[in-house]
Amino acid sequence: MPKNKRFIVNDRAAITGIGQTAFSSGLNRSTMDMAAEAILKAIADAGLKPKDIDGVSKYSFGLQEETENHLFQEIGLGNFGFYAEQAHGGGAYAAVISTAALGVASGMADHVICFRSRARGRKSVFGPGRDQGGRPWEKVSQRITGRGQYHVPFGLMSPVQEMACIARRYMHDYGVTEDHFANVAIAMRKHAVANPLSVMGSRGPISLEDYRQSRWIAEPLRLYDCCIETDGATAVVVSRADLAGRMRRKPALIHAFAQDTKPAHYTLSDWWRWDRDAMALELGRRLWANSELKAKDIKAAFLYDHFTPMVLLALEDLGFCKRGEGGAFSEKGALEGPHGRLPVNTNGGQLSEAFIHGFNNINEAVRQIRGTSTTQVPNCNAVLVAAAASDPTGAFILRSE
Amino acid sequence: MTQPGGKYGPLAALPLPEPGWDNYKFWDYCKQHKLYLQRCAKCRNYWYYPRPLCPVDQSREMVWTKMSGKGKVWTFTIAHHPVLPAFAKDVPLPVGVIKLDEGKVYMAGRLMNVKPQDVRIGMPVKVTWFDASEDISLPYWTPIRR
Repeated sequence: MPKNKRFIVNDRAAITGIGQTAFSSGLNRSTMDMAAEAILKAIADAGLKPKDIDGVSKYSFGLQEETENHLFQEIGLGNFGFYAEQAHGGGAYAAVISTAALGVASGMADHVICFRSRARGRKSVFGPGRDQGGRPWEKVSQRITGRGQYHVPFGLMSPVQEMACIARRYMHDYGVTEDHFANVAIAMRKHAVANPLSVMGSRGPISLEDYRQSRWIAEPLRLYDCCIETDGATAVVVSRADLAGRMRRKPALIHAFAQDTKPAHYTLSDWWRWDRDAMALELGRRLWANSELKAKDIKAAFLYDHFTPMVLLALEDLGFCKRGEGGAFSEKGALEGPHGRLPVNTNGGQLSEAFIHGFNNINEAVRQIRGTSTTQVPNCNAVLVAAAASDPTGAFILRSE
Repeated sequence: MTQPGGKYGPLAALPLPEPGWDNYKFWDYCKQHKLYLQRCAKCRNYWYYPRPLCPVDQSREMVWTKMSGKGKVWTFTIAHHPVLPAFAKDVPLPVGVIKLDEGKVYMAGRLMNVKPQDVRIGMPVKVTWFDASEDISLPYWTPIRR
């Protein structure tokens, strides 16, 4: 029984199918095409047919070419009794799954499809095409109407620059060092090397010296502190738990979940004026209140690694260590699977497998529960998945039986 | 806000704010080289960026108040990638967040007249003005001795 007795949806849903495309810096495919492949693979993996899908849970950051409704028609889905959408990118992906879990737990649907598709690899983004022309933050107009006007004119405009400011203050306040950030980068690359589907694995492992030699992007962050940008899509099927036991794959039960809203990192002007410590920990408090498990029960964690410092902050926010101890926690290979203290992102994460807005971490979390990861953690019966803490955010716990 | 960069190419000039109903007074003061921020008449907190009501008590008595224009570097980055051609000649560019002397209020801004390697958290700075266009002056920050 969880501490929050009003949370009545523990283990009422399960992830029963996963699917993905290849990951690459350029696939020459539309986001719709890739989404279709990942969705159909996830449905097949679950042992279902497209007509069995009666719900959808998705991101507001959608396809580039088409509306999702068009996609669903193209691949023979429809008649959704449950249709839900979560806002934002890196912050949304955990909530996409928990929303799907609510959909099946409430009886509105039996099998809900969730997916993310991105054509953001270098070859897909740079060029003269309609959807090309650079990164989103490079495509600013001469006059800025939104909140970007309070930072873009000063040259503070890309996510890495904003996260670099947060990282610098984090180092100042708690004595975290660049070598702590390196621990994250090194662990992610190690996992990617074991994972033949990762984008960076073929380049081999990186050492602390490699990390220190990598070029500055926005001090104190280097190239190896930054996630990669890729093409690819992933999808999962969330099913009623009472159906999941009779399905094709070993189910990954969605044990508990929670959501939270953080101060906006956008403009950075509000980031520190609230009580950061109290606010940052709220997601973790809610998650553990909704769960029968504790942080020590978690065998592997999937944390949003768009930039290395955010993994250390997430360890603190989610209660794996105390405030300011994320750096120390990462020492001695603690984040490295299969035998580290808490293996994190055993697929290589967004830093080294692929950047599908975190969604590829969900597929890997399911593989850990199934026992099929390329960096399999022994007796992995409970994992935690968390989204970016810099947006509206969320987290969930998967467990076997 | 975005335009199809593939067709038009990246923006060559410095991107500038487009004032709207919630913030035109802020930019009007900037044009006069004056730093004014909103202060809630009820809770007495200062707020930036400009907004129609106070997030603490929902009061709409947000009084435009003259600031000393002084603060300290709260955090910063040295940007090595310019992102836009407008910043290509400026990298490595020190840019950060200033905590103003009046209280718990922060402004993102560009740091001028300082070598990137000399920027420190806690460094005292004061506002300095850059006339970017006929209608827009941008608040920049420059180190001061105390």
